[in-house]
Amino acid sequence: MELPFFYLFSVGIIGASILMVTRANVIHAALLLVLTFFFLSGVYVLAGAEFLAVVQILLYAGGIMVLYLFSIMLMSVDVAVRLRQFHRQTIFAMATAVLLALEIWMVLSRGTSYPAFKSFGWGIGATPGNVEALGSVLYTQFLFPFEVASVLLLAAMIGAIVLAKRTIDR
Amino acid sequence: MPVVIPDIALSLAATEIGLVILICAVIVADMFTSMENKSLMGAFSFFGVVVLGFVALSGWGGGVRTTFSGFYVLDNLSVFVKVVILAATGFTILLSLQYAKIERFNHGEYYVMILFAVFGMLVMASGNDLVSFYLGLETMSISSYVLVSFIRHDPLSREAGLKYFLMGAFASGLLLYGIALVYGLTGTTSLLGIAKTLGGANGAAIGADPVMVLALILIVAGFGFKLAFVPFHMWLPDAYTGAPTSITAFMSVAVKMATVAALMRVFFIAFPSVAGKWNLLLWLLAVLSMVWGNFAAIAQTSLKRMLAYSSIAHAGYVLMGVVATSSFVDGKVVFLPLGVSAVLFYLLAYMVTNLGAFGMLILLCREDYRGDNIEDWRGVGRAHPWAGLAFLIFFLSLAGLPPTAGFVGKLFLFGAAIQNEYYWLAVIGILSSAVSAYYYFRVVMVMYMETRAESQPVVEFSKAPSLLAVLVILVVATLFLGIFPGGFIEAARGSIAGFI
Repeated sequence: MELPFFYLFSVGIIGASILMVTRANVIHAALLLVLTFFFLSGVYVLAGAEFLAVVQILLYAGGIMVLYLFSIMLMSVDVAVRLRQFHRQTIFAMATAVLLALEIWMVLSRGTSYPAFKSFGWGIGATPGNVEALGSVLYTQFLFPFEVASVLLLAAMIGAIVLAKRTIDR
Repeated sequence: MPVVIPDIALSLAATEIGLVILICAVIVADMFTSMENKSLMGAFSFFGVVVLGFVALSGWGGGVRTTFSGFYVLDNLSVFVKVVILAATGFTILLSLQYAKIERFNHGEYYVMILFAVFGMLVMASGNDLVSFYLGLETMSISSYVLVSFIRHDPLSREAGLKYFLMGAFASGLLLYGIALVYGLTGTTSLLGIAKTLGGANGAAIGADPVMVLALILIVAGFGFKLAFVPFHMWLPDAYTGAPTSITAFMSVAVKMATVAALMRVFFIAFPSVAGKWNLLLWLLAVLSMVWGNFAAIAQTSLKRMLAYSSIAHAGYVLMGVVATSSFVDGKVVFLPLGVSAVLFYLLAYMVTNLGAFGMLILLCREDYRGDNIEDWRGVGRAHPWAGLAFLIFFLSLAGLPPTAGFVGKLFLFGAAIQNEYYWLAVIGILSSAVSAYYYFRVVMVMYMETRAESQPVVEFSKAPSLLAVLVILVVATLFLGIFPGGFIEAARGSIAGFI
């Protein structure tokens, strides 16, 4: 039952990505990127990483993409569409792609011999589920980083307001 | 699935918890304070920091204690670092009280962001795991980005903030990538766990893995950016010059103290078995920083920028102490405590000296006149002998001449390097230190030998009692550390207990 869905999502990811880099209209490209993220989160679900799937949609499709769209809308898109687009980065992009492919091959060829793969034994279909297991370590073993992260976010929030507020001199 | 709540000794983290309570109290109190009375928030933060300093001090001598599932450690090293950081924070707040009004950024959030940065530093000082260390570093960095660009109406300050933010975010990325690779190789982020894996059965194979070398390079580069070692220093002169002077002073002492402490903890505890690799990288960074920092400082006309370059060189001296801690016998590393204690004492000496030097810049600052160029100090030494004397003492200490704190600090650093047979490092350090005397004494010469031009405004010092009190304390401390360093050297030695 899983296999057809896996192919569906994979074809979706590849197709949407290719369409994304070939569109002239940036808005279309951004929306296709959202589509890619949705398909990717489907793959995560199949791999038993429900939490990652939800985070993928919330953070990437939700948060980061909205930011992208906002900044795109600040530019004049209709003018950009009519311009011939060039960036002279083809060679650089190909080199990066080859490097990334090498990296993936390197990791896959070693399989699970990396110690990090062994330290948490959550496989597909494991009980408790991915989300529950994550929650239980987050609030027990990883309590300290969790609390520090909350202070970090508060600092970032106040800092952003201080810098971006139109006037602080009431 | 039953969830077992681990046993957490909250009292060990009393300083951090108290600091978060203080931050929240300042944020809330700030809402009920009128625009004219924002200095009250500074005074409030100052008293809170003083109390927290004593809370931190009470942790001294209790041995190595960990809590929060090993993410947090309290030992003498972390206590020493925390007390010095809190002292630097107290001085910075006092330096800022009048200055914030002059530069028109006297908002409650200024003190809140300082306290947030301090929280990050305290977490770094106690970080016993790459995750908690990294989160502390980020809290500190994000607060610093905001503080650097806090003079919002000044384009220089905004530019400094943006540059610092972009380079800092890039550095965090490098560091995080290095941490991720280490996690991939060892399966843990705990410093002790990494050391155990690298020292275990497969340790030699993991240590020789090219990915490990890449991870170490990335981590060293991340630290290099954060501490502005040459060649990762490009952001520092602009950020330090554009930032409010009080924040420049704060960053040059407190941020460096916390990051160096974290650097020592990460490398000495987690990576002793690959010490040969990272020690070589750090050696190179130390030499480049000492040489380039000092030579670039010569060409500066802005005193603030000159002190910024000199802080690069001083970071190089500190790194020399870190490098000189490792001694290699038959390819096996032995850590000698002299290097670490020299680093800690030097950071303490540099704290009082550099805060004082930037405090002198604040002393000259007025609404219409920043006074941070070397020219602005023409003839000040003769017209105002006390101010001239104070600045002279700080410059003596920065140049490493007796009878000041900087002299004792450098003596220990070079002593550590020579004792552990890093002769080249010591020679380069001493030579570059001689170069530094040239540009420090150029300012002294301008102060005493030159007369003030007609076009220059009359020198009028700030009369804020808090600022004057801090400067007197810092002058006395600089001399005291130089003449009676005994107790502080003992403290620096004692802070290694249980560390290496």
